[in-house]
Amino acid sequence: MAASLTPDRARRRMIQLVNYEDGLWDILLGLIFLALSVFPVTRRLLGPFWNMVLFLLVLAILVIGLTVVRRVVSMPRLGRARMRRTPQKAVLTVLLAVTVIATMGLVVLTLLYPQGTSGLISASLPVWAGDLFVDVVVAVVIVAVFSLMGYLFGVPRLFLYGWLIGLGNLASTALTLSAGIVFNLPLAAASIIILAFGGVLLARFMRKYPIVAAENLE
Amino acid sequence: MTPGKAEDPGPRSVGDVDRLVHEPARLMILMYLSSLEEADYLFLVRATGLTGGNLSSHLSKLEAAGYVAITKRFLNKKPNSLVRLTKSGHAAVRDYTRTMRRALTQIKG
Repeated sequence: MAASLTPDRARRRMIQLVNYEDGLWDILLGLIFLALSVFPVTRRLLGPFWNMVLFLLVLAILVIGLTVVRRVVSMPRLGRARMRRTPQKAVLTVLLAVTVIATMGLVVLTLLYPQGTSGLISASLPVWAGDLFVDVVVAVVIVAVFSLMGYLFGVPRLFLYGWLIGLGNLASTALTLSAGIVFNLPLAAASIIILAFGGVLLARFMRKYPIVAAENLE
Repeated sequence: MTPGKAEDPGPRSVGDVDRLVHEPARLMILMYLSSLEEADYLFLVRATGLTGGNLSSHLSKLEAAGYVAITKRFLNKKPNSLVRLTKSGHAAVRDYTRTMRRALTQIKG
């Protein structure tokens, strides 16, 4: 118990418990990337502008939904806690911002240029760079950001998510370029795996932490 | 002893450990609280695995020592107590960690 508890382990344990224990973050991530995998299809129906509006609307609903569900499902079971403001937390905030920006960059690239992004700049790149240069860079960034988050937060499954999303996006673009498939099937498969992780974690969370009457505690 | 260097506190440093902090359950509570701004009773019960009564007893001792501050309030007509580490609580955790590190280094030789 306390014998193996260092300040760093305690901090990581708190980050896991406050942010990742209930699996809701995983579900949000899975739903966002599932939406991304479908949006090249809806772009054909709605056009680029309304497709972007639709995506932002879905994103807002998902983020608000996560907040509400966390309040209704997690808080009565796990209680309330706020992480302390420290330099480490500032680093984590920057990391999260980078993740969001990287994700949004991916959104814009996927929504505006479903036929693949490399064609846009291929003229300015050497021949060896190949057709998937930009997508490989995006995949590397995603893997790197998720791996760093996994290491700093002490959440190993984030390593897997980085690879799933990075490779899923790369494979989706490759399929679009080579076979003309608009629906991002590999990214959808990656999202469903992340959603499944989130679902299992949420079910385990609800079983592990039943609702306790406050008067029984205090 | 090397001239100009501070005197080695020796094995006495192990005895200097704050016994209020040294108790495993209280140490765990303090360690967790040191990385949190604040947490309620339920969260601490979940995080530590202690029973409500056990946690309450340890928190009372820590509160009496001035290491934690407990704010009682009502949330949706239910009692809800927020616990946070005070400045002296943070200092106690820091001192404890430092003392134990020094003691372990001495034991290892």
